[in-house]
Amino acid sequence: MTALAEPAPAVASPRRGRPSALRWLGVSLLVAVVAGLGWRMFVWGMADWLAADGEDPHRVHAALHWVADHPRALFLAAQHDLEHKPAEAREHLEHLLRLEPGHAWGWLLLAELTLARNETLGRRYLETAQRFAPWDGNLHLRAGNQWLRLGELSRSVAAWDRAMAASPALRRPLFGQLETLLNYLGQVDFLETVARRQPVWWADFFRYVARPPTDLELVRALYALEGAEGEARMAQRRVFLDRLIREGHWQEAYLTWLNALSSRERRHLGLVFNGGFELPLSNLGFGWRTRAPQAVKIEHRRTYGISGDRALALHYRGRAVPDGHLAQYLLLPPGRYRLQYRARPDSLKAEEGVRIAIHCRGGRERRLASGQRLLGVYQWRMDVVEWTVPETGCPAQELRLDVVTERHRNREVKGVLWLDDFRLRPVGGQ
Amino acid sequence: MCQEGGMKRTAIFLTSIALVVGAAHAAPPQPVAKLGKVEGVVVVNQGERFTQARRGMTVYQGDRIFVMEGAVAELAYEPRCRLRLSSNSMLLVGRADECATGHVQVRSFGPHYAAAIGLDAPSVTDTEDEAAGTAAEGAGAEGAVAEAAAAGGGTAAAMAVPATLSGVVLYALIAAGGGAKGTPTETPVSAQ
Repeated sequence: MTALAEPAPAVASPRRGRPSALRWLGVSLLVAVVAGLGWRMFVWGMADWLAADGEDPHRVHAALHWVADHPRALFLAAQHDLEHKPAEAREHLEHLLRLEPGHAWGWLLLAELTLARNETLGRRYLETAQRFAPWDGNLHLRAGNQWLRLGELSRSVAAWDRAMAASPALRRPLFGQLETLLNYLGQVDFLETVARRQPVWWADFFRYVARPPTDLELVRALYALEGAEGEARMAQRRVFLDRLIREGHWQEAYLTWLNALSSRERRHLGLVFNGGFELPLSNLGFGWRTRAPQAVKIEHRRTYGISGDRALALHYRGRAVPDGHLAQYLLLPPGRYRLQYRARPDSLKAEEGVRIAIHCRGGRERRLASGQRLLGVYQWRMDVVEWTVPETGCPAQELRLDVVTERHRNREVKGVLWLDDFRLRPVGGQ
Repeated sequence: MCQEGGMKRTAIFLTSIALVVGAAHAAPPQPVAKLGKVEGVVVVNQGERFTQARRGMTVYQGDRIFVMEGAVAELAYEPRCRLRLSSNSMLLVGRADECATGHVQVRSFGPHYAAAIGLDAPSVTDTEDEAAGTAAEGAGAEGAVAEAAAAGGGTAAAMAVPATLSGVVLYALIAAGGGAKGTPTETPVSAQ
C-alpha cells in the first residue's frame, strides 16, 4: 500500500525542454511549408484567374508577373504578341516549350513564327506540332493552312483530312476551302491520294462539291478518281447521275448508269429496264423512280397471274398524288416504238383514274402518248401504246404514271394498282 | 371511161409506191460491221434486246454499242476499215461507209483531266458526229480522227497541273474567300 502512496519519480522533468524546442522547430517548419504552399497556391490561383480570360493581353501579362512559368499565360502572351511583337512571342514560346516540350500548339505557333525566317526549321516545328496532337482538329486545320502557304498542297490536304477526321464540325468550312481550291486550280490531282483512301468525310464532300456552280468537268474528274466501293460509290454515283440528268447530259448519264449495273441487273436491260419488276426499284439513273411515299406505298412482290416472280403493287392512300409518282427515263433514238404492259386495278378509286404516259425530256417537253385509263377493278389486262420519237427536240424520254385530270382537278387516288411486263420495242425497220 | 382508166392507173401507181415504201421501211436492217476484239463489258442494243458483245458478232444500222469502264471493242467494216471504241464510249451504228468517211456517231465520256493524268478515261466529246476518243484505221477516216484526237489532246494539256503553285496565292485565296471558313472557332488553348 505504502509503495502505492509514493510519488512518481521525477524522471521526465529534465527532458521537458528538448521536446518543446523540437516542437517549435517542427511547428515552424510546418508553418513555413504551409505558408509556402499557400503562397504558391495563391499566386498560381491569381495567375490562373488572370489567364482564364485569354482575350485581355494585360491580364495575361499580369498573370506572368505572378507566375513567370505559367504555361497557359506564356502561350496566350505569345499568341497576343505573335503579330506585333514576334521577338517577345518567340521568347514566350521557347520558355513554354522548355517547360512543356509536348505542347503542340506551342510548336505550331513557333513554326508560324519561324517559317518566314528559316523555312526548313519552320517545317520541322510544324511536323512536331502535328505529331504531338494527332487528334486536335483545330491544330491540323491550322497546320494545313501553313502547308498550303508553303505550296505543299498534298500535305495541306493530308492535314485537313486529319482535321476533319478528328472534328466533324470542321468538315463544312473545310469543304468550302477545298471547293475554292478546286475551282481555282481547275484540277483534282491534289485530292487523288485522299480519294483513293476514301476517308469518312469523302462522300459528304462529293455531295457538297458536285452541285452547281462547281464546273461539271471537275465533278467528272472527281468521280473518276477511284477509291470508293459499295455503298459509298453508289452514293457518289447517285449524286453524279442527278447532276448529269439535271443538266441534260443524257447519254453520259446513261453510260454512267450502265456502268453501275451488276451483271445480274444487266440481264434485265431492255429499252425499259426491269420491265417485269423482278428487281427491286433502284431510284437511280435509268431505273424505276418513285415519288410521294406519303401518298403511295410501293411494293415489289408476288401475286397471281404474273409472269416471272414479281410484280409491282402501288397502294394509294387516298391522298393527292403527283404525276410521275412512278417513272423511268428512257434513252430512245428517233423512231417509232410500241410499249406493251399489263395492269390490274384493284378497287382503284379516283376522279378520272391514272395512266401510263410517255413524255419528251430534255428538249421540248411534251407528252408523246398515253395509255388507257386505269380505274375500278378488273383482272390483268394488256395495254399497248405507240409513239414516235421525233428526230429533234426529244433527246430523252420519260415513261411515267400520271393522274388523269382532264375534267377534274382532284388528284386523290385510293386503292391498289398492279403493274407487270413492260416491254418496249422499235416498230418497223428494226 | 378514159378518165376512169386514168384514175385506176393513178391508184395502182400510188398503191405500188406505198407498197415499195412500206416494204423498204419494213426491210430488215443491213449488216454494217463485225465486232473484232472485245475486252471487258461491252453491251450491244439491237432492237429491244441488250446483249453482251462477243467477237464476230454482226452489228446492224441503228444498233447501239456501249463500251463500259475499262473495256475496249473493235469494229471491222468492209472494206478494210477498223474502228476502235475506247472505255466509256457509245456508238450509234450508222451506214456501212461511216468508218471510211469518218462520220462515226461515237460519244466518249469521262473527264479531260482523267486523260491528262493517265487515268483510263477518254476525253469528253460533246459533238455528236465526231470520232474523238476512238482510233480508226482506214481510208478517209484518219484525217477526221486525227483532228478530233488533237482537239481532245489540246484540252487535256490546258487542264494540266501548273508546274509551280504559289502557296501564298492559294493561302490568300482561301483567306479572302472567307478565311473564317477555315479558321478554328475555338481558341487553340481550349484544345490543350
